[in-house]
Amino acid sequence: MKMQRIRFARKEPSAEEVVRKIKNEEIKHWFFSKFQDFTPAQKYALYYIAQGKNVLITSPTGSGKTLSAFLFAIDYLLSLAKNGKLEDKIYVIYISPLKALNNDIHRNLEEPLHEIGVLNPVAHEIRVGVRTSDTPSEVKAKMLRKPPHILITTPESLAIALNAPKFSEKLLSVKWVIVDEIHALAENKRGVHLALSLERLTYRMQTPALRIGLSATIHPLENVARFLVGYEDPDRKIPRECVILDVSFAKKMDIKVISPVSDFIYTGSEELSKKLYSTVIKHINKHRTTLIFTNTRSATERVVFHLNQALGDSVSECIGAHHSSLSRDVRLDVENGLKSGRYKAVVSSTSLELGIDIGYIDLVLLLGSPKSATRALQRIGRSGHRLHETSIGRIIVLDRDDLVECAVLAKYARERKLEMLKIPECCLDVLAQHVVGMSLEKKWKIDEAYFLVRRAMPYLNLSFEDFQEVLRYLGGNRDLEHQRVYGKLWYDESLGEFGRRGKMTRAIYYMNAGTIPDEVAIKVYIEGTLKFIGKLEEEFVERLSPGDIFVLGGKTYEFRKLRNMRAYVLPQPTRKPTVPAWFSEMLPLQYDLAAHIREFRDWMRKTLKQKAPVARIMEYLDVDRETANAIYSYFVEQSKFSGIPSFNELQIEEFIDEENLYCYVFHALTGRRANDAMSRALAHAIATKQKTGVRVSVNDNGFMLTCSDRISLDELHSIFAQPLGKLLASAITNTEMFKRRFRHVAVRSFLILRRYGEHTKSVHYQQFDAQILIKSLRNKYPNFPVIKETYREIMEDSMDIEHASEYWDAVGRGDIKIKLLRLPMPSPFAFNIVAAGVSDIVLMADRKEYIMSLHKRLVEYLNRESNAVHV
Amino acid sequence: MQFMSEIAIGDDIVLCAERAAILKGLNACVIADLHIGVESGFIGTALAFQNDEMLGRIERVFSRYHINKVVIDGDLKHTFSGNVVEEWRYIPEFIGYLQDRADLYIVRGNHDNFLVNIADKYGIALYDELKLGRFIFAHGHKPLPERKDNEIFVLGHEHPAVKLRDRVGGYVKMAVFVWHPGRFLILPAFSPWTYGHELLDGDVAIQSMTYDDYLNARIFGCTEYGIIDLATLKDLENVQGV
Repeated sequence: MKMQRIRFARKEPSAEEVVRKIKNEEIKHWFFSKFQDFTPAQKYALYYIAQGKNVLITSPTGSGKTLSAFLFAIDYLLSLAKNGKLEDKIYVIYISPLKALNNDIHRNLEEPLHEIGVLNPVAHEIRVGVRTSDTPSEVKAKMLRKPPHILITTPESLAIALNAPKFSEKLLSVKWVIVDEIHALAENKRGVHLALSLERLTYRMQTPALRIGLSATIHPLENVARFLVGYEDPDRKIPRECVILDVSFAKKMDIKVISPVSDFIYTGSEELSKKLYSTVIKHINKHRTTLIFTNTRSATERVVFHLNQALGDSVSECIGAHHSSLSRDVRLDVENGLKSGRYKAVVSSTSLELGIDIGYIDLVLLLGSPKSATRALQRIGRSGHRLHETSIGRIIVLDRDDLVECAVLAKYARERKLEMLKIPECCLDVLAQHVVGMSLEKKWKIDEAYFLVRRAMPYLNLSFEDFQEVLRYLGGNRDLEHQRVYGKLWYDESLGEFGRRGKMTRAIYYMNAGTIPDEVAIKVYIEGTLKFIGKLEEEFVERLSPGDIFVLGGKTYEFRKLRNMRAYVLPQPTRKPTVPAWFSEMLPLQYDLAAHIREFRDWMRKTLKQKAPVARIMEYLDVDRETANAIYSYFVEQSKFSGIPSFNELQIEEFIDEENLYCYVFHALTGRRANDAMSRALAHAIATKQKTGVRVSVNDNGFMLTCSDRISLDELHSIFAQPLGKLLASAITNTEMFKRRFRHVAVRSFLILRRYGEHTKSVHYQQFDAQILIKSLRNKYPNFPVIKETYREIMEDSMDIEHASEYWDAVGRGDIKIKLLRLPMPSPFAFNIVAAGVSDIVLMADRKEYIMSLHKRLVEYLNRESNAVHV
Repeated sequence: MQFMSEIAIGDDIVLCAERAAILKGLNACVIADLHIGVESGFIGTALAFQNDEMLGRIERVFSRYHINKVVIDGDLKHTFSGNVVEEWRYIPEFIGYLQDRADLYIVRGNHDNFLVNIADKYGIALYDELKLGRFIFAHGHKPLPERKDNEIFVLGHEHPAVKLRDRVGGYVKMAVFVWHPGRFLILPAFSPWTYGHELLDGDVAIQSMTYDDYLNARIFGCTEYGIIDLATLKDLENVQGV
């Protein structure tokens, strides 16, 4: 019964059927004067939207996405205009996560409307307007008097518009809501926020608007569909109807993995770099326009720099850079340059993944692994402007682990076996924000509000208790006047009602609505100069001590001092970082792909024992001989040194480092997020036992713990026997990361205001001890939603506790066996884990004991120096 | 070991884990940098948590020692540019508690610009500098007056703190007293909101002081378990390997 409401369209409608759905001759005339035929996406979309269905369209680049979503609406509006029935109302809302995309769409609509207007001037009456945080207030005021028929906006602006007393009325007439790049929204809190906005809007409408979702390649589509349309009846878990139009198969993909050298280990880094760039240039020269993806902003800058150097100044050959730290004008210029063909190649991190129209791209190059088959397909899908053209993608690998990862990834990408999308659930901070917004609208009965909220898919399983706790927090209940927790709304628990309160609440909502956290940044300068190198988060600087080595913009520096909110550093290019770079720009390896690599390792174990292993690798992964050879020799090396871990083995290697500390490398292939979870839980348990901190390094293929003392196999077994959830919660509780996340969640929940004002200049955030606030809150309110959400966000969204627990429990049960090896040095598979750099320092549970052990260190030093300790 | 409820220094000074100094000869208790009202600067809900906590600590100090004078060495309140609701409520509460039990002296700190409005209302005198016995009390944001050889400065403003580190890079941060025998005593921030800033960073807040002055000073750490002796700042520098 449920599945039928969310279904795939099986039958591709014929062109005639589709044409019949268009009412106006001008539209037909205009369309066929420009295009030969409808694309499959357009056919499907028009057909089902005309039938009044909610639709989710997943289509690749070149499929005329914009028109597929808008054409029916434009046809409808034209009919109204011709009959003099076009009113001053909003009929269509288009929502996308990127403001730039919004400008793009605006252009994409204005053009056809103009052209149709040439055929029939009445079309000029159709108004399109953009409303985002960049929109000046005069324009917004004008919108109130003469609303656009088609409104283009962002999720945040929609949430604010919902609470604009007069303007929100204009939203109630909407017939279609189009959500673009929905795959990019569904995976984070912005999407959760939007889902609640849509339910709040729908609830107020006489006739609910139809929802149209536009998505790139993602899996599983059924979940994205449910996310888009929500639930008609959350109590019985009955979703609204949605037809899924999956046109992604239409595009052919040609994906290959390329190794710039045949041997990574014995090729020096300079030569490797040279070979890498010459490979890239070779490909650029063979194609008209190339889109190059790296994984970080700093990498983008480096690559552009090197390519420009190598290609020289010739005008026709230009390389552009595109990433989110660049100004809007620069990015717009690059986008236009791509469209006009001015650039030979553009290098981007993640910013060009989303659907901005960038014209003709005939090759996509990925430098290094995109970390999931899904992302690889999304990126490679940007090439091949026309639907019938094959998307060509080449993945150029950067080291041996990258090679294995990409080869496996490419195999699964070719087979279109995608990773599971995870949609965050029951986010209490976003909920708190919307509940405040709701209270500003009218008085609510708690059951009514609870029902509404659960219609949004992320909140389907929200417990009533959690909802009540959010209301209690917002209402400022429990001996509140004494505690002075000012309520944001009034909540009468006995009556089961809540409503608005206080004059400041509306202003707080307007100024703080949204999910993107503000970061306070400290400027960093080279000591002794005026040279500005970048910014660091205040909380990061807080943990630095003079002498600490850290990374900024891809380079290493030594922290020297802090003066007047400025950090002074010295370049230290040869030294290894001693402090974690917690704001990791790196995309994490996905669990599903990690599991595939684990399977592949197992396959290699067996294949190494068979005849002609290299030929087998060539066939299995569809790679050339050189690449297969590189993979083969990597595995042979590992197998000779310490063996290749089988699928059901957790191989742990112990060695002693140059500081005489015990290092344990865990070859746990569960993806970075799950590794993050397990490493911290283990580190915490060990730190508690050894009464000292444990250093943690995490990467995609495993993690390393650095301890002052040895660990035994028995100790490891006893740790894995404990449930992961509890250990992890304890591990993250007193960390910097927890405080930082708490601050973000607190801001979203309106507990802390986003900007904390000039008058705190001498009590900088770096001095602020969130621990006191957190401790007090926990003592007074055990289920305080802001704290609960901080844990949930870290453990579920950031750290993949679900998969980590699966693996952890398997180890605990003995289904996955621990193999502990003592080695003189790290194995080949461990190199990258060891070199990963420190992720965090995990402390023991007992603070008092910890302080005592630190003090002991000082006393031992003093005894050595023979200083008598006296007053 | 190590954790004590008090440490005696000088001839007649006792330092408490509660971040208060007792001057036995004067039966005086000195604290500084309470920053009452600091939460309203960035907490939208004005959760006034620190006040109960501070009152608790003061109560414990009063219960242990014979005190008939209290000196607040500056920055009793937080908001520069006016008086916020919390300050109007809590400062009189705090002051009232103290006035019921002792003579109260308030030295003005850089955050106390508008304290005079509150102080006037409750009949409390504000001092820029105060001399009691051989102690000179000043906040520390302005140049210090002349000091005779036997006199001792008692200062706030610095919010001194240190980090104790372990071998792998973990650390604990704590508020500290800075004691230069016979010359000065710098008080930790009484406010629990902030531990303060790490002295080893080298950024000295008190105008008339230099990093070298601190290097040879004795450091005493205040934790929730007690006060601990941390030798000198120079020793701490050496242990951290700085």
